Amino acid sequence: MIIDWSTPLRHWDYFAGGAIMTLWLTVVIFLLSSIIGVLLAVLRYNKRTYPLYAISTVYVELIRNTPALVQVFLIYFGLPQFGISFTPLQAGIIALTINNSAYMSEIIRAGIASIPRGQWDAGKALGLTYAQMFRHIIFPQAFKHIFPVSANQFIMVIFNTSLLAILDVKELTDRALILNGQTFRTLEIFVFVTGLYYAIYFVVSTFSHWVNRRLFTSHAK
Amino acid sequence: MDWSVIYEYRYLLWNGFIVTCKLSITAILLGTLAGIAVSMARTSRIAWLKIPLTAYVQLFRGSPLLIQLFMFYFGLSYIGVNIDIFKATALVFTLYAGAYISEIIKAGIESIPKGQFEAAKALGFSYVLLMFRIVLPQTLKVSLPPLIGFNLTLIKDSSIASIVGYAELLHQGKTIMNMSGKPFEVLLFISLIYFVICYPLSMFVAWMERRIYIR
Repeated sequence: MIIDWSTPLRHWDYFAGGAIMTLWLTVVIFLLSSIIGVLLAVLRYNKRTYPLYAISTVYVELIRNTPALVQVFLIYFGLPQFGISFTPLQAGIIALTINNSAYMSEIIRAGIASIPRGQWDAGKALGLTYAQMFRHIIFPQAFKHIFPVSANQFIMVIFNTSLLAILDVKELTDRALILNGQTFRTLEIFVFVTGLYYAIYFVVSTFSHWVNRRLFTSHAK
Repeated sequence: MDWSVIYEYRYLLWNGFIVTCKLSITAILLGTLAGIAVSMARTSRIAWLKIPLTAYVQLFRGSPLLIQLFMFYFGLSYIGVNIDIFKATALVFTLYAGAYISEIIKAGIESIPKGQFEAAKALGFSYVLLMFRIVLPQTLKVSLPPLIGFNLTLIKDSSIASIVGYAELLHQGKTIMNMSGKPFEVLLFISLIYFVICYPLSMFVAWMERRIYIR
């Protein structure tokens, strides 16, 4: 058996395109699910509107306790049974956004819950409206707790996009599989792609740690 | 919707469920053991172990599980190692779990005050004894919730093994989908099975976290 690195190296641009696709998917999914996550978190924080609280809680618990891959399957293979069909790319983005929004809502809710009761009371005493309190007092403080956890979640989304390879969304993993089928240079290709994923992971996690240290650490350690 | 398909293929689903359980339990047990061993070695003073173990943890936490599965399942046979699919997937899941669990336990070990280590050393404890008698029992309170939380993730992630053709629940589901042409019912039922396993566990984690927080 001969190890021959020329195969992945010769197709570096093909992999680079895959890596860009992976990152693009991740950013789109992360942004969409953050928006939905904020909505869900607000609904789940406020028990006064009970039906909305109940629905959003059921949604979050259902999504968080079933595998992402099954959700991808449900959207892509399950829904056409009712005449609702998506392209692989649409299905992938929808399924992973649904999946990730549940996790984001929990992260955001935990961030809001970490703010002491007194901050709300102080805001009320100053005569601020609920929205003003949230925007000027609660959210800036909660963001400090939300940022590092959601950076981790961003990395999880990067890894989850690899599941979309089964739908032939041309991201990094799918391209590795395609090239593997064409060249049979299995080990070289998968080592190379693992290296690429690690590089992405390393850059994202180093950057998020740096941002966290620079902006959100109030006391020097 | 036609739910008779579930009853019709109940044996296949049951089979898949057993195989999923087999993989999950193997990965949880071996992964936890690997995680404890790795975290102990990484916090010990054996310097030459630290670099390879850190590299291992970084690598497995820094790439998708699916890629790791492909790498081992296709890669091992490519370099001429004959391995059956259960062993290959169990190996990957164990290594994957070991990397994450070692970080959880390492964080627990580092939360124990240094004085405890010094006191144990003064009493003549060996490193292994110090870990099992003094440090690890104390970390249990901190690291048990994230540990169970991760194992929950692992049970859900076992569905990824279906992509390399391991005959677990989702893979059997795919077979049934192809035979019956009723994907929605089958997938919904499979989701339900995962939910029934995972929801009580996640409630337990939430309960434990609340208890620690109140104390």
